[in-house]
Amino acid sequence: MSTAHTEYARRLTAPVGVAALAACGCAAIWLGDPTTPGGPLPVCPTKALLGIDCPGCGSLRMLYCLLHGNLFGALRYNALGLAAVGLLIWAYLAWTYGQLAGRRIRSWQHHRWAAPVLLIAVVAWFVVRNLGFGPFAALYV
Amino acid sequence: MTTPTQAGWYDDPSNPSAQRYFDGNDWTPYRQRKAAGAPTPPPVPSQTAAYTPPPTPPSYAPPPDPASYAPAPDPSSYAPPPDPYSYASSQPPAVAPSPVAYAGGGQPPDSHLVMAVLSTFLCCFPFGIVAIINANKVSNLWALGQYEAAQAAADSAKKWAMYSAIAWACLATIAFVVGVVLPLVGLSLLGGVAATNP
Repeated sequence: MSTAHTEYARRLTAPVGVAALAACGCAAIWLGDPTTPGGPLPVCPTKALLGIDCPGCGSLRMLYCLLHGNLFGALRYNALGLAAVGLLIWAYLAWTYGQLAGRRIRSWQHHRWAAPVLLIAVVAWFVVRNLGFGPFAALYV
Repeated sequence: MTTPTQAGWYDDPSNPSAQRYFDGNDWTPYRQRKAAGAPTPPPVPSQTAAYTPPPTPPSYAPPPDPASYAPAPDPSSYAPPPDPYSYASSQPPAVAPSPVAYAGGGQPPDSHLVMAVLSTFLCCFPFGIVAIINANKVSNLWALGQYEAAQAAADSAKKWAMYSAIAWACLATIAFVVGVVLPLVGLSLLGGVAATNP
């Protein structure tokens, strides 16, 4: 009985560590408030150097909105990033279950088209949010 | 899955056509094909079909024909049997086996796509894109039978995702120093100058 408990504890070490790291990151975002300019959290280097939005720009503000339950704000800051958060949570849950079950659980990243679709989505998102005219101007954050 | 208790070659839970070496504590990366003399299984287009779990035989009874591949026994009901297909079923090798070729038809290596996505959105984007591009190559190379190239692409994806995170950490540190530490130091220096020069 106790060995089984030890075994489960050993398998859960990595998932708990990742969750703790994520919680630290969320706490930093909550306290740093990236939606107010001039805070302690750094601006994306791509934006700071080149003045353009990278696919990840607005992710910190998106997470801040998400932590405060503001889904529309999160969509506004980085819609694709919000989708990526969903994928990351999915992959985390599948991985954690796989650790517990002791086998590899099939998740989205094992799908044949996962990488090409993501690549196209990220590049398209990079272009679209920098177009700067018409309806696309709202995507620049 | 019941984990074996002693070192040896056991059926790979994630690959019905391969065996994996268990070193007594943990699963090692070393794998070998199950059937020694059987024809090489074609590299299964591993993307979707390879993930369907093998049917669980009601009792483990290896078929007499070595050319036909037996579905792997369900890992949860696994008891180390004398496997007629393995090279070394009962005697655990004295030394760790050399990293032999990957079992053809197995699963491709982890492409680290999750890390690549994480680094693209939250770290340094250009490196993250390189990581996604490398992760993209893994399954294609694997399907073509270029196992070493697939492994190299997977390693490369991991490397670039790490670079992305490291670059972001460096830039964040610089931003913190320039934006927070230097102004504080400057203010205190100015304050000192103002105090000495009334």
